[in-house]
Amino acid sequence: MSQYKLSKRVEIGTAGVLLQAAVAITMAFLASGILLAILGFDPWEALDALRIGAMGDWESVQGSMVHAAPLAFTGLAASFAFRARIWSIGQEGQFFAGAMMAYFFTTIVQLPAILMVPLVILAGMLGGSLIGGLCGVLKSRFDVNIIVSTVMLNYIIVYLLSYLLTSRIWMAPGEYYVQSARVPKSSHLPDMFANTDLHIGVGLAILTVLAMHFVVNRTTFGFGLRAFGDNQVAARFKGINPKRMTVIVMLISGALAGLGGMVQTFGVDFRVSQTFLTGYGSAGLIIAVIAGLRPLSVGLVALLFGGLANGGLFMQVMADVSSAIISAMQAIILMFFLITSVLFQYRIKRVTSDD
Amino acid sequence: MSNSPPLLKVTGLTKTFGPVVANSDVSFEVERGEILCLLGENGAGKSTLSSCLYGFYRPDGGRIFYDGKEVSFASPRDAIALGIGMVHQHFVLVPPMTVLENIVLGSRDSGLALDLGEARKEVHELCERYDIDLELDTKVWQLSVGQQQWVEIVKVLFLGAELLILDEPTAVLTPQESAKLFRILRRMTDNNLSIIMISHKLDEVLQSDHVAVLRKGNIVDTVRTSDVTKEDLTSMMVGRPVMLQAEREEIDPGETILEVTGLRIRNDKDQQAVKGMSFKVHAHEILGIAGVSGNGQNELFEALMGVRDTDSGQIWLYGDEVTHHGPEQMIKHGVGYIPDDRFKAGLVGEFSLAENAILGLQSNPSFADGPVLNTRRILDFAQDAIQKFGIVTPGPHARTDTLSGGNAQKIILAREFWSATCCILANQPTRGLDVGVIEYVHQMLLEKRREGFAIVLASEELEDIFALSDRIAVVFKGEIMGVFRTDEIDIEQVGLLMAGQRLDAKETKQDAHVTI
Repeated sequence: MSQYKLSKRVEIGTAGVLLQAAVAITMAFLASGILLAILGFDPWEALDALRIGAMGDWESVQGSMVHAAPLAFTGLAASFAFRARIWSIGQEGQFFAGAMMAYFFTTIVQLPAILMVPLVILAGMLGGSLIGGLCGVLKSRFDVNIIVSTVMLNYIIVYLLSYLLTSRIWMAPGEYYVQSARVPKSSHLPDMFANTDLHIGVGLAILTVLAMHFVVNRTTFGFGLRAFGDNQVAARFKGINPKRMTVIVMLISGALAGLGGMVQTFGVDFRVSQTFLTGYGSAGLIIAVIAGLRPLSVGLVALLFGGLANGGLFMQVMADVSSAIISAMQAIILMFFLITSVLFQYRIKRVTSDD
Repeated sequence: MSNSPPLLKVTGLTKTFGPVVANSDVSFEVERGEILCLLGENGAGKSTLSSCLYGFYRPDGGRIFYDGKEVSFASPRDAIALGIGMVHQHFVLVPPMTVLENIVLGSRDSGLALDLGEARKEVHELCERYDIDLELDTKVWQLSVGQQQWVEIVKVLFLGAELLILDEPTAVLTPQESAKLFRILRRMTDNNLSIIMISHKLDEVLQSDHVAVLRKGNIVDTVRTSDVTKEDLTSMMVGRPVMLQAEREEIDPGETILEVTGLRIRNDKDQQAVKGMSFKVHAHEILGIAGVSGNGQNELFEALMGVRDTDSGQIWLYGDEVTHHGPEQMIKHGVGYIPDDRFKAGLVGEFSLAENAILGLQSNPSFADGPVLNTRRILDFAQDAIQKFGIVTPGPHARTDTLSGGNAQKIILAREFWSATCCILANQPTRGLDVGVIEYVHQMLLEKRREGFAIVLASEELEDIFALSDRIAVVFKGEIMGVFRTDEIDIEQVGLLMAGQRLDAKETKQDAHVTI
């Protein structure tokens, strides 16, 4: 007689993670195809358009990378905080704050590009970390719940931008759309190579992914961060000050999200507006979870999401499928990642007994 | 003796959890009017076995006979209906209710109206019969832990149990309380009740009639208690001979290393947990802190390690004040800490063995070059620790939460013994460990004593305290009831002090000076 039993795996391993990702993505695309078919589209045609748009040629790959860059930053911001079990949902607000702080600097100083670009980069980090750090301090000093303070500040920042625009403080005279004036040419993020669309924000994103991987896994600070995240009591006995750690993590997480907002604004949009900046924070949360909070995986998942966003535009044109379907697909991918991550924790074993 | 069938007979009982075999082919009998002790190390299958007997788990195989008839239980309700009652290690009482209400609670299908008058008479009678001293109208929260255990026992008796299963009944008792417990158990067996007791404390095991020794889910042997010695039982339980009493050589204490003066500390509930403790610990000396846990030991250790603020008083190390130094500094000063709850306060479960072996030392130049971890040296250190401390593990990359308690404790020992240079604070370092590992921990602590460390050792196990300590400080409700040289005092007296009774000077063996 033989039967099958479920048992829990102790460790999954890199191969397991890759297999899980492959299964999840395949199933997510299958489900998306079904969704497209239900909506009355030809799923093959639509998904093929998506593929061509995302990676059909070098041109579209570049576009996907440019779309991925801000997502990588918000993904890193979320994964960094979550790694310390600090439940910051503030990436959206910090993303806005980074863009706004950098824009603010362009309205008060005029410098040559060689100085202006570093200035807006720093300003982007400053904007995000001010907001993140504020939530960290509120937690450490007054024990204000991080989820609550970050969500509240998201609203405050978004409405602050709305105020700055509609009150015409940042809107160009005679402008019809609710958006700021264009940022000066000197502040634009330059392209990394000639004849490409890859601005230095993309390179910055790649470097930041690598740097965060190193910081989390190979430095004494990252060691403390991970210890703090898994066991605060033990970490405290071993010299990690929880209050200081919370503030530092929130400062860094905020700076990462702020960089994302700056990169999107000064590499792509060249203006700030609510519509341009919305959605990157929440996408970052999804990316962080799918990536299992691992920085390198965040980079890969951001690229996947960037490809979807970029390909979605092409799909809209070619197959007449609304690019809003892309948001649904992102959610479907997340769902299948969560499902497979649970499934992959178990293994099926055949048990034979002699009864 | 008699030809009536045994009260309980178990044959071939088997219980598995997935791939883990908790009990395999277990057979034993309990006669009427006897105490059977189930003895075994952690994970030997004692708790699973008792859970099968009172209907909490359903065995996968084997048969249970009660009073000669084969039975099977769908739930503890069936077991209690037959007369099998369980007294858990962690009490399930309602603190704001009275003793009587707790005893009657959930026992009768009497509808909404509770006839306490009738029950009172019955409970009173039970207490009388077994000489249990309980104030029925006292609220349970006012009772000592020992008294709460009487309530649990009377509760089970009130339900009509003829066979009581007691899970580690003396884990929380002072020596006097446990002596009293055994007197009462004896009265019960005299009245033809039977008792199954789960224990790993050898002194208590020897008070039973029969001992069934479990090892790795099997019953190794069932023996008549009067035929065996402690040493026999230990080697049956462990599978090899074990040295029960560590050899403590006489060494003269050296200079004062750690000194605490007038320390007052509040707990998380903002109550005074430590009320003015003072003591000194010298080089080459182990100061034992005896006391039922929850009498300020944890708060004391947390304050000494710098993770809890003190209200007043000072902590001195080599004559320098270190009162408000944080944990990072205390580690740098060379103070090592072995926490009572190793997975909560000592280890990070998601970390690898190697990472935990350097937890708190990650910035030490031995393991990091500036801000960057030196993975090579960390792994070497872990590999070394695995070898030196005999940690059973697939390797330094193994996740810590997959290790057993004993192996986890060895990681902590490896780490703390490496980083500590003058002082070791050991809070219940052998709690929940197997005999073999306890022996090892004792030897390591004595080794450190020989090397000249000052060691503070808190334990509920008075045997540990007496075997290792040069001096014993007894704590009760945050106060030190007295500090004695180990040869000036005996277990009985320490037990009284642990229960809050002060000794007359005459009572101690010699005219003891309280050596603080």
